[in-house]
Amino acid sequence: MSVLPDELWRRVFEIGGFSYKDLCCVSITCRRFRRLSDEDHLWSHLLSSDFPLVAPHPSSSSVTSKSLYKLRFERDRDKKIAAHQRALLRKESQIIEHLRKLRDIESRLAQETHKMRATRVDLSNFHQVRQASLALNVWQPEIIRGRQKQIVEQCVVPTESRLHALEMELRLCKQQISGLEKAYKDEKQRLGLAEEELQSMRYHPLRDHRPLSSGDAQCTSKSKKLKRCKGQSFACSCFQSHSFLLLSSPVKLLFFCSFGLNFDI
Amino acid sequence: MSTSTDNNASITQESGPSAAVQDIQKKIVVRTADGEVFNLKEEVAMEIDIIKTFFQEDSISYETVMPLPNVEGWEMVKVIEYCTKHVELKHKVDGYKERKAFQALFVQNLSTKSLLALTNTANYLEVKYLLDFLCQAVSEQIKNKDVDYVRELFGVENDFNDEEYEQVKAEAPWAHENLNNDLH
Repeated sequence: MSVLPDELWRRVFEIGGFSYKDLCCVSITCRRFRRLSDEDHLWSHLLSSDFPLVAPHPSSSSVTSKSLYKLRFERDRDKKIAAHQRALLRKESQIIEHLRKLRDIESRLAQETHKMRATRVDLSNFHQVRQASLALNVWQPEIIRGRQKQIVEQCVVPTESRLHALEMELRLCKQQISGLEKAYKDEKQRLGLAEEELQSMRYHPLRDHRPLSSGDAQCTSKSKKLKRCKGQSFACSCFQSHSFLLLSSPVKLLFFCSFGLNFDI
Repeated sequence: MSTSTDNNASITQESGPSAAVQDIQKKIVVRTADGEVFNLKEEVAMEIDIIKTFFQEDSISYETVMPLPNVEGWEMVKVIEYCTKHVELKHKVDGYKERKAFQALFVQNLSTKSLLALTNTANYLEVKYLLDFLCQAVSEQIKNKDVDYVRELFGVENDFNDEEYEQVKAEAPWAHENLNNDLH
């Protein structure tokens, strides 16, 4: 280092296109470098390139460029931290909203399922009545005939029209359930996305100073978990499109989606 | 005492038609601190301002051997190498890639100590573009490195006392970095 005179070191620092980090690093090494790297022209150049839009400091004559830079740097950094915190909070409340919607859909699904069951029971009763009234047209043993007459007489409502209405209702219920299930899936997807975004916001904040090893290791293990879940929910959606009509309990389907379990048909 | 070293810049052939072409190019002779003598092509020699001034200012004849007491033989070799390339690329329209490749090779095997010595020489010889390039090369070695690395690189001792050291660190905007800690 003693080989080069001051003026050449100055040239190195100027030409180098050093960042504030480099200049600071150099100033910490030794007294001579501190003197050389603290020079005003180097820092005023940095000031104009890094903080071009900031209004000039009122009493700039008495303040060194380096200290001014430090001031602006810290102000800027604090702003960024605050903005990041706000973004995190927004994301978290978004997630809470998604969860709320999911709970809402779940309860509506439960309601519709209950309705569907009740309708099915009604339907099967009316089927019985119709069967009985048809059977009365045919000769049957007296015991059976008697029972059938009882069934028909007990039913006060016109069978055919009621049957038709119930079948319509059942179809409607099923449609509703299918719609709700899709809505659930969509909302779940949105939730997943928001959660991923939150994670990445937490692990890669404003500046990536974190050493590559630890940060990335955590990220890759998390992304592996996510990949596994995604693979299984794909299987889930295939299953869904074919046969939820066969399912007697749609609630099972919900569990299936959320925990990514394998299901044998 | 003096050994003649013809480097790649200037080999005269006495036979064949090419000799005539080469003879037209005048030669300038310099002697470095360790006694080595170099024959430079005129156009290359004129890239080196100190040489140019020496011969042109007082119209000194090219017969004179110019002494360069502050320059070592190996440094002269390097300087000539760079200037020759520079002259060659001057006539090319699109020599950017070639120049970059050449520059990379040029500094490849240079130790930091040699790099600094060469920078000094380029300054003494007044070859501006070489000086700029070498300063850039030195700065590349410093950029994005940490304090200990830089100290070791230039063989520098930490000559701060504790008080001063704390002061310097406080002045550095990034001294309290590790933002990640703040955010968690």
